Amino acid sequence: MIQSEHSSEKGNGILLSTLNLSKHFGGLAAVDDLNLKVKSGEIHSIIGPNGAGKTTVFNLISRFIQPTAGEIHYAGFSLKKYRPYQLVHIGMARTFQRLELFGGMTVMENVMSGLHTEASSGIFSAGLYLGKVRQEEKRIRERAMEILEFIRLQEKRDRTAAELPYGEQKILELGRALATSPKLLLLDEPAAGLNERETLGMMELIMQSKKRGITILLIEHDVKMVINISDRITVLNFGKKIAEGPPNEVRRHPAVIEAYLGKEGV
Amino acid sequence: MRKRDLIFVILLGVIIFAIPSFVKNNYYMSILVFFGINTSMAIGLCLLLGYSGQISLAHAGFFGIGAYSSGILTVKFGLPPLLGVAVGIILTIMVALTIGIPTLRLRGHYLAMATLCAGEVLFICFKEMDSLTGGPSGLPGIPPFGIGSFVLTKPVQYYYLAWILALMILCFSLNLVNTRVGRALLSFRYKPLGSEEGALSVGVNVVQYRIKIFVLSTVYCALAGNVYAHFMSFVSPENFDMHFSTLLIIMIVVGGMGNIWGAVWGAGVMTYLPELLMAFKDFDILIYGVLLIGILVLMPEGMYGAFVQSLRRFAVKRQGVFDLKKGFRK
Repeated sequence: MIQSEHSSEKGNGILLSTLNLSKHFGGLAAVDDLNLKVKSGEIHSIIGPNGAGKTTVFNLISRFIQPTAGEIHYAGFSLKKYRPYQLVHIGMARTFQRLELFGGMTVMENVMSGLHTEASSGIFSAGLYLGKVRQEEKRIRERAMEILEFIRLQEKRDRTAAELPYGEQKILELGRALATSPKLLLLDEPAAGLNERETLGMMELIMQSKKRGITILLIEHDVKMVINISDRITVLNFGKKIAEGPPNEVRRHPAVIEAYLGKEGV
Repeated sequence: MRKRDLIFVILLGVIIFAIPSFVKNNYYMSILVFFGINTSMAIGLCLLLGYSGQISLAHAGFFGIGAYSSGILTVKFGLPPLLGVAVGIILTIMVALTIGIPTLRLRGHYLAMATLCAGEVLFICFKEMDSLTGGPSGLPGIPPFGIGSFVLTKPVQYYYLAWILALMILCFSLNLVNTRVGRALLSFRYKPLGSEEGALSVGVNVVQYRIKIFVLSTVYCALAGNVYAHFMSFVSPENFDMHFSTLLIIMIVVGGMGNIWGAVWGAGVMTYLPELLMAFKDFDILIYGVLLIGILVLMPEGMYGAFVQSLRRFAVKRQGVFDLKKGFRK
């Protein structure tokens, strides 16, 4: 039955869906019976107050933690058997709320690491530096340069990632995720801690990524940013979905105003 | 390999092949043989600890497996030395996988404890398997290394053997760290230098890389052990105890963990220093300890790291600008 549902989902252009997804930490239901459908080509945002379970949803989707119940389907198949490092192969990439950059490596190397699965050389061919490896490295370097140009960090390519200001580290992490050539990009609070100018730059990059055909699932606190760039918004509170729809509908939804936006007086 | 590394490798090669025409003394020659042997092992440990961020206190045991494989096969079974090398490598890979697959899931102090125990188990095996290893009194009479009728007898020949091996390992490792594999190794180090979550998110199979690099570094040790056994013609368990594992770690810490050249430098310093300090008779250990503490306090990034930093400072003085581009590891 589930199988038939997928094939219809595929027809609807749904790239990612969760089915009654739940995660309990002891007695706490961090995510409770969540049904989420992310349409291909859209920017889909998840918002909600602190502790609403947004990051847990991300960690479930990217397989860092196992769900208590429910399923996750991506492009028509279940992610149950997938381990975190295998998701890149099927076109899923993510960034982290608290940066997970490779601080000791240069900006260039960070992006090149994002191209890890584009190459296949193992320890022996790499150690002997065979012709195949040489070509692979050259190709990876060129691809990394393209991405650095896209995120406008090409001039800082030889700096170590830890030396960059926070805003640029955020952008670099986005670049590293983009390097994996994702179909679906999970962005966990990309604008958190950024100033207004940096936030605009980040929004611009996200919009451009969408134009390149990447589907984006976004967690964000910056309500203005979410309303500006999202095609669809899901609002979580205490792990439950309380509202969903296009930005204009969601911002007027009474439950949302009460739970989240009301406090801001929007 | 980067251009700069290649130049240094060629330079090192030239120096190595020039040394025998100046040094005729067998005692100095044997120190240089140990320098070569230690370099091979230190490079392996540098890949493991400095690059992938995993500690191992079992590496003396793998050095021992290499040495005993050579010794036992040639002494007890009369087989040619090359076969001892092959068996040593295969046995080491098998033991490394047996130890590595369960223990490399651990991190930090727990990994240190687990590998310490594994090293101790290997040490006990060398000591207690009397019929094969000769037990605590050791295994004497290991024939010299040779292929067919070409037999190495003089220290200078072992010097070449040890250093050709070390140079091969050096080149292999320098190639490795500047490719996809090297980046993967660097990516899952402890924060903030790396991030395991980040590595997983770009598709690095962290568990597999941790095991692979562990196995590679133990194979380096085993090869060094093969050379050692034939050079000394005698092996005993004391050569492969925890103290030697610790010494290997000290080598790369003193030299500079973040760079393979630091391992070469550290191996040199730690091989030569004890010999140098013999002149101080009873005070040698005391001075040794004070020097080590001094190096670690004054040069936390190791001697190679301090060297790179002073070069950078010199460049800054000349240019008058602070060049952030040149990272320490490069």
